[in-house]
Formats: sequence, C-alpha cells, structure tokens
Amino acid sequence: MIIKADKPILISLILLLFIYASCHKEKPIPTPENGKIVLKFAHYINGQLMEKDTLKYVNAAANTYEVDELKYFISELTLYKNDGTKKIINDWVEIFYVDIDISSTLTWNVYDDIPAGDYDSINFVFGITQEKNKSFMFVNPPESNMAWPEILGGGYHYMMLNGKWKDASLNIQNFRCHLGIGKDTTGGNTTFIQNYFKVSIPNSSFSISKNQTKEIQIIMNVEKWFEGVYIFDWNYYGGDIMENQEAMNKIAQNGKNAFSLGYIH
Amino acid sequence: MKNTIISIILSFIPICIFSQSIKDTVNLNQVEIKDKNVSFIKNEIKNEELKNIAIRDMGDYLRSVPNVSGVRKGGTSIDPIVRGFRANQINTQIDDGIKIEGGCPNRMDPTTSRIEAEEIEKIEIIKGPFALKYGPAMGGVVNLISEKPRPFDKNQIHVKLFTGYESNWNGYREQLSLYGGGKKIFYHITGGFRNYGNYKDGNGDTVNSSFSKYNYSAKVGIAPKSNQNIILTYKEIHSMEMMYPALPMDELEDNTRIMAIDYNIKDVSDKINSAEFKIYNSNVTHIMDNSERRNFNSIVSPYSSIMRMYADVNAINTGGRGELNFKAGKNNMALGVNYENIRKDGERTMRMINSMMDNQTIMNLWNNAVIQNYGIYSEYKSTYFVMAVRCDYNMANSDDTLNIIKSGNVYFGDTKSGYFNFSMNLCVNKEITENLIAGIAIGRGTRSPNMLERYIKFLTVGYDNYDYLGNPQLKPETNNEADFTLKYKSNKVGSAYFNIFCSYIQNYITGTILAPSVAPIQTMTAIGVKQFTNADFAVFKGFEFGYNSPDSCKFGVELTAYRTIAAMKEVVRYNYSGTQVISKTTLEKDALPEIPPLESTINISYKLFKNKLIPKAGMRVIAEQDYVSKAYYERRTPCFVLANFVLIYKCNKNINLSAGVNNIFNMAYYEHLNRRIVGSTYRLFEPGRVVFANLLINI
Repeated sequence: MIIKADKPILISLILLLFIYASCHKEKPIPTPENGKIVLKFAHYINGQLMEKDTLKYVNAAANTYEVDELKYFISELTLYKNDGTKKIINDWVEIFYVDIDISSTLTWNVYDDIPAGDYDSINFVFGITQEKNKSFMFVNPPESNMAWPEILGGGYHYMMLNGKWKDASLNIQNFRCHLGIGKDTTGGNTTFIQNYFKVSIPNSSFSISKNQTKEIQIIMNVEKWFEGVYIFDWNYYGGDIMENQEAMNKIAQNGKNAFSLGYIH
Repeated sequence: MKNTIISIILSFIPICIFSQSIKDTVNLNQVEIKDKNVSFIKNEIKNEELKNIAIRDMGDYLRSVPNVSGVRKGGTSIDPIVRGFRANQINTQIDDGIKIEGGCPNRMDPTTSRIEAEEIEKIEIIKGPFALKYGPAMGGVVNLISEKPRPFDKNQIHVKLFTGYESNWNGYREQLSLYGGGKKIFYHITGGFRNYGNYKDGNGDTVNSSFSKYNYSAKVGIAPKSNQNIILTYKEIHSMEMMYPALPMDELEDNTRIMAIDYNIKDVSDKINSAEFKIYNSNVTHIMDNSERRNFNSIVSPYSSIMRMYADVNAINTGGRGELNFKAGKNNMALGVNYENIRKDGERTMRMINSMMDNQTIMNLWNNAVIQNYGIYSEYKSTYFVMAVRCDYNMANSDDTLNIIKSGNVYFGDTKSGYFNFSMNLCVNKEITENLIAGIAIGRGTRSPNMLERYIKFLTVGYDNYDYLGNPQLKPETNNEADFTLKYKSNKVGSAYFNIFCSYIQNYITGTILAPSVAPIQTMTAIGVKQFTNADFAVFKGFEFGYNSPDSCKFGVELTAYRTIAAMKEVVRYNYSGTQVISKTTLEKDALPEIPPLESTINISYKLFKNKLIPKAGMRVIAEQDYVSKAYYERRTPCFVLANFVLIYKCNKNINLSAGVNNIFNMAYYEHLNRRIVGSTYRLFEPGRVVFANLLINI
C-alpha cells in the first residue's frame, strides 16, 4: 500500500516552521495594591550601638561583661491594624534568624505584601513556638547550628548570647546565655517548659500606602536581658544556664522588655 | 558560536573527498534507519561498535549517539537524556521489556547502569513517541538488548573473554562468557567486574569518582519445537563504594536481581504470524551515605556538628507483556498488552552530633508506594505507513501519612490517584526518488508521573540544589510530536539523513518553589524546597543531521550535527536579595534547564591490510550553551573541542585488539549537563587524557 504523502508532508512542514518562530519575553507580575516592609535589626547596650568583644559594659548586678556572639530567632511577626485586624507575616518566611556576625541577617526583606492602611503595633514571638520548634527543621548553617539537644526538649535555641564577665574574684569567665526549651525534673517526672515569649514593640504604630516600602528598625537593648523584672547576676547562676530553668525563666521574663523601636521611614 | 558553525561547515568538506573503493566493509555506521520507514529516528548500535572503545558505563557511551546526552554526577552511571527528555520521559529497558526501578532518588542507578557494554548485543534508541509496544513512551525508547543464547546444530561450547584498561582512572574491566548448547537446549553464562579509581580532569585535579561493580548472569534457552523457544534469565549486578561528588551522598552498595521468562512462537497459524510473551521481576536494594564526606567524621565550618546521612531504599518492578502478530492483507498488525507493578520503600536517617548532643531523625523517602500500569496496544504496519494506538490505566498509592496544608492549600495529602492515558502515532513515508525518502511522523505519547514525582520527600534530586517534594495528585504529561525526516542513500555518495522535530508537551512536569513556611529544607546544602507540579506546556524542537560515507570506501567519514531547544510557556522566577526571596516575576518562553547545546562530530577512518588495521580519529565540537533557564538561574557552559584516536587491529576472526587515546589534548572541560560539586560552585569536570586498550577473544 502506497499512500500519496506529498500534501501531509507539506502542511506539516509549514506548521513546524510556524512553531519554530517563537521568541523570548519577560512579563512582570502586576503589582498588587499593597506596600512592603523591610525590617532592620540593631543591637544596643545602654542606648549606644553595641560593641562586641569589649569588656566595658556593666549590668544591673554590677557584672562587668562583654558580648562576643549574639544570634536568635524571631517568629510569628504580626502587624495589628487599628480596626482590629492583623497581618501575620508567613507567606514566605515565618521564622527569621538574626546573627550580629552575619550582616545579611540584620535585614529582613519581608516577602509578604502588606495591605495599605494604619497599623497600631508590631508584635512577634521571641524564639519559636512549641508547634513549630521541631528538630531538623533547619539542616543548613547558620540556623542548624542553633540546634537544641533532644534530651532538653529538642528543636532550636531561641537565643545564643555568648560573652565574658568578670567574676567576684575578678577572673574573666565565659558566659553562654542560651535560651530554649526548659526542663523540669522535680518529682522524678521530666516536663519540658516552653520559654518562648511574645513581644509587643512599644510605640510601633505606622501607616503604609500602596506601593510604598517602609523600613522599620527594631532594636534589641541587650542590657535589658539582665534587668527589669529580675536582676540577673552571673556570679550567682554561673556561665551556663541551658539546663537551669530558673535562670532561663528570669532571662525570658526580662527579655519581654528588651526590644524597642528605632525608626520607621 | 560562530566558531562552531564554521567548524560544522568545515566538517562537511570531507563529504566531497572520495576515496578508493574496496570490497571488504566495516560498519562504522551508528545511524541505521531500517526499512522504508524513515519518518522518525531509530538508532541501532551493534556490539561490533562497542568493543573498540573505552566504555566504563553505558550511559557514558550513549552520549556519543546523536542528540543523546547525559547527566554526570560522579564517575559512572551517567543518566541518559534523549533530545532533552529525561528519566521516565524516556522508556529505558533491558531485553525488550525488562524494566528496573532504580533505588536512588537521585538516579545514581539508572537502568543503563544495570547492564555493561560487554554484555550488549544491540542497542535501539527510538526518538519520540513512536514505539508504543514497550509501554508508555513519551520522549523515546532506549532498549538495551543483551546477548541471548541461540541454538546450535551440534552441541558445542564457546568462550568469549573481554578485557580492557584505561589510564587516568587506572580502571580495568573484565567479562568472561561461556555460550553454546545444541538444538534443544542452549545457554549463555557470563560474569564480569570492573574497578575504576578516581580520575584526573584536564586541570590535573583529582575527582572523587571511583567505583567497583560486578555482575553475573545465566540464560538458558529451550526449544521444545522448531518454531518455539523459551528463554529463562537470571542476572545479578552489584556495585559498591561508588562516589558521586555532585550528590549529597555516595552509593555504599547497590544489589540488583533480575529474573525473566520469554516465550516465542512463530508461524502459529495462517492468520497469526507469531506470538511472544515475557514476564520479569527486578529487585533493587540501594544504600547510600555520606561516610566519605568530611562532615561525616569531623565538624566542618560553618557547621557546628558532625552531620551524617544514611538512606536505604528497596524497589521492585514486576511486569510482563504479550503480543500477537497477525496478517492483515499484505501487511502486518500487532496486538499486545503490558503490565507493570512498581513497589518502592525507603527511609533516610540523619544525625547531628557534637559535644552537647546526638540528635537523630528518620524520615520516609517512600512509604510502601505502589504504581501499577495496565496497557493495551495495537500497531498496523505496511511498507510506507505505520499506525499505532495505545491505552494505559495507571494507578498509584502509598502509605504516606505526610500532610502539608497551609492557608487551605493542600500540598501533600491524598496519595491515591488513577489516570487513563491515550497514546497514538501515525507515520507516512514517500519515496521521492530512488535514493531519497521523505517521512513524516505525528505522535502522542502520555506517561503518568513516576515514583519520584509522586512521592519523594525532601531530597535534592534536581540539578538546581533544591529539596524536592513529590505531588501525589500530579497529572500525566503528554508529548505531541511531529517529526519530518529525509533520508538519502547511494552506493557512491553514502547515506545521509536530516530530521527536524517539534514537541508540544502538555502538563509538563517541573518544580515550583515552596515557601520555607510551607516546607522547610530537609537536606544539608539544599537552598530551598520545590514541589513537582504541572506547568501549562513546554515546547521542544530541534534537528539532527547525519552522514556516513559508503561502506565500500577505504576512507570512512561519519558526520553528525544536532541541537534541541526547549522552553516553557510560562514560569515563575523568584528574585533574591542575598539569600532572601523578595518577589517573583513571570517569564514567558524561558529555556528549560539541562538541555544540551549544539553539537557536531566528525569521525574519519582508513581501512588498511584488508580491514585488519583501522586507524580512526574523531572530533567533537560542542557550542557554548547560552540558551539557559533564567528561572532556574542556570549557568552558561563554554564551548569546547575534543579529539580522540583509536587503532583497531583484527588479528584474526577470534582476536580483536584496540588501543587509543581519548581527550588527546587533555582539555579541561565539562558538559552542560554535568552537575555541580556539592558544597561548591564548581561543575564536575570530565576526565582529562585517557589512554586505553581493549582485547577481545572469542573462541
């Protein structure tokens, strides 16, 4: 059987040539009627920009100290509107890592679109909530280096604040102010205590209009971790507090007042 | 680019150079188009062509076939890509229907790694959805046919020994076969091993690429009647300590067992020409870990812990096919059925160890996942006309309990799915002159998503260093392809062919980035998470040209040139500020990643001493790949030129010797599809200069 194939071949050739004639285009996604925010993180001691590795600060317990490393997570960033509604930042990132030694972590270019309007306050969770704080949630550095031992409840450190202080004998000691899940073994039963806490930044109202980008500076006042609700004395608790729920609880209670607003513009 | 075009034009010059004709012939032709059906491309490679070159891996060898390339992740097991189609878009099988489900999510162990060059009798590569009898075939079929036992008039026994050595890797391979038998019972027993060290690239840098493998198999044929035969096959192939610097883990060991029964009968009745039946089972256990990486035993900055990974996967593929061939007037018709059942189960263990902790987690890669495919097909064939249809019902399920739901969107939930798929093709050929045939083929091939695309959980299985998450509700993808081919053949000029093709792929399966708030990264060094999704459509198009001088010429020339271009209709690109995603843009007609660039090859040879001695030189010219995916932030690959040489000496009918040099000028280069070395931005370089020698004794 021989089929006369001239016409199908010709038609198909023409079709193929049409398909070949394609070109390259780039189409931006239409910008919605929203604004954007960029968070900048700064770290102060006694109202001045913190200088690391400098043994010159004195806390409320009269410990002379320095800060060498500071890294922490904030999560569930929430913007409250004055009409009672809220915008939770979680479209892309919902747990943000800050590290004073990694400059890129000091800026959070928030992916989420922020509906235009007036906002009353900025709130977040310091650390990670129990629901989200699961081991192996981060497998790459720097976040993975914040892992919290399974025997202490697993998940991740909320904060590593490492430095040195001059003890009562004037010897320089290391302190590791690590905050995470606490462990209580009283009565022979082990219970884990969630030490994360909510922070509401005072005087953080702002307005944003469509297509506007607001830069918001959030300041951590480091000295506040050691004062406020409790006077925290390194000479009393020693340098390591990871397995000391009483010490971590005091740090956490003080920490609720450690943040303030720098600027919004 | 200009240089490449000039080199292609220059490479045509030898066509015009005619040399002295001789009577004896040597088949240097890799591109054999059978019958008078030229409407699509079918490459056939016979074992004659494999014995004189350095082949450490079938996937590596297949890269020398026009418009076939491969993804290199280590020293071996290069994953073939045919015209830009990859993985299960190509139906790769052994011995006309044995399918193997690889254990490795990262395709360390593609089907091509389960068979060695020394075992091969023939390789068939059918490009496009034009061979439907072997199962769903969307982008093409690669059929690796191993040597079969055959009956002898008188009882006899033969021995075949192959040994080969390659410098640079300090690699050697051996294969010993015994075959023989009589009219009723005949056999083919073979076993071999290969051991390769690390190779040095053209810069002199050592690439961690060593591997060891061994295999053994027995095939027994029984011919109860002269028109019937039964072949029983048992095969095992084992590999160990295979290094893959471009993957997060190396292969600790891989053990594969294959069993098959074939039954063939000819001249069944006046109406039934023949019938063939096959059932098979392949079973793979695959173990990987990162014990050869530095961070297995020590803390490597920026990590603050020892990081260990271990994965163990078991994959079983059971299936079969049956086919009846009828007479339909003067022409032929085939009617057949296929069945395939794939089961896969595996888990990954991760440990994070430092002075304070030893945290460990175990997660499923697959959890008793099952895919079943039932197919029925029919093919009508005449001299100039072929038509085939195929229907498949594909269903899948898994014991996964993973649920990912955010803001009402279900990313991973119901694991059950079932699809009815339809495939067909129509091929028409026309003899334009005595020497010139034109053909056009139109086909539609649909394949359902594979195990990886449906159920994988968080492994970096793409080239882009993202963790991938399966999608149980993924739809099948369909290739609608048209091919136009011209073939010219003359005893004086030789044979040439030219093919252009265009594929319109519906529901193209690709990856879409998931926000970290939906799915966090689970694999060290991954930069994010992607989930398999269906894109609207993608278009592949390309051409292929080949020329072979007449067999009767002493001076032989082979020329090829080919290119595929592939683009997606619409794709989202995420924009970064440092490592943070800040916005997204939609790109139209963005290039698909991992598509090889324009390539041309020329091989010249000269037959001396009545074909006893053949020097053969070859050159590959590969253009820069600058048509790269913007959405994937794919990097360009520079052009390069390679030169190879081999000297073939046929001592007598029993002994064949060959020796040669690959990459003569010790070029430091990498193919566009070579993956990046894990933890770096460096691409995996190809081996530098390799001197090799092969000896084949067949008594």
